Amino acid sequence: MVFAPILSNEEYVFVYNKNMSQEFINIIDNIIIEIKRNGTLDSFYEDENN
Amino acid sequence: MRIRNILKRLAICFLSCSIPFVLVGCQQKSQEISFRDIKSEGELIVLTNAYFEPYEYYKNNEIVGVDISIAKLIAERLGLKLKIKDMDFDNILIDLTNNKGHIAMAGITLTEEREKAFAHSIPYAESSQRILINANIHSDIKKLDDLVGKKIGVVIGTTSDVFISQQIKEGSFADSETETIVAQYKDLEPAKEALENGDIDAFILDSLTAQRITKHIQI
Repeated sequence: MVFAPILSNEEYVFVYNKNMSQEFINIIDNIIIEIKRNGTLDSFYEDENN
Repeated sequence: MRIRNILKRLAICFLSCSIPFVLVGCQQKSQEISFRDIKSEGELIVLTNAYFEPYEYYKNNEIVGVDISIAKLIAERLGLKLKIKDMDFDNILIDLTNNKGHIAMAGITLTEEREKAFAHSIPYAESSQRILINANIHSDIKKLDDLVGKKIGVVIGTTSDVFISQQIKEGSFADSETETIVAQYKDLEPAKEALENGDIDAFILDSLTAQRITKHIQI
């Protein structure tokens, strides 16, 4: 199998019911910000590559 | 005149009595799902489609992957037990609407429609879409234009599906003498098989997932 060049760049998000409280959404957003900053998210990708 | 006044008063009385019930009905329909509610349930229910390496997939009968690692971390931080529900991709948002889970974690891209119907997190990953082809059959497909008149496979509801639907809507394949067909599959496995068997000419999917597929199989 072969690849063609990249077609588009998109971003992935977590999705909630429309009625999910902003408090809960903010908690998850803060965790995402933290794991992006401290390298934890990168380590998850590295774990998958190994 | 007197009868009209009585009817008017009755109508006002009826409306003032019934409006609170109507409002209560509306409130129940759109009742907020609070963090306290989730805590009291004791578990974080994640909805996913576990055929999307490296984000969520089965390994030794267990669902693992980048999204699952994030879910585990979130559940641990919040003191909740993690429950992962695996389902067809196109059922995830339906179940979310019906309150059968708290978070959909499945490499989901926002669309205008989804943004109106759902709440969402900040972006946690960047993705790119690629064309995967069976080189034994179609070594000539190298760019999007080469897919004109071909049969293209996507997993239904995924970013690839949204992408190719948008391309068709914008007329990217309009000049074709032969029709360009989009075949939607419920998850990655049947689409992969279709590509291997030559049932589709190309499979559009997430770049990282495409890399994983090429690691596992040789064509």
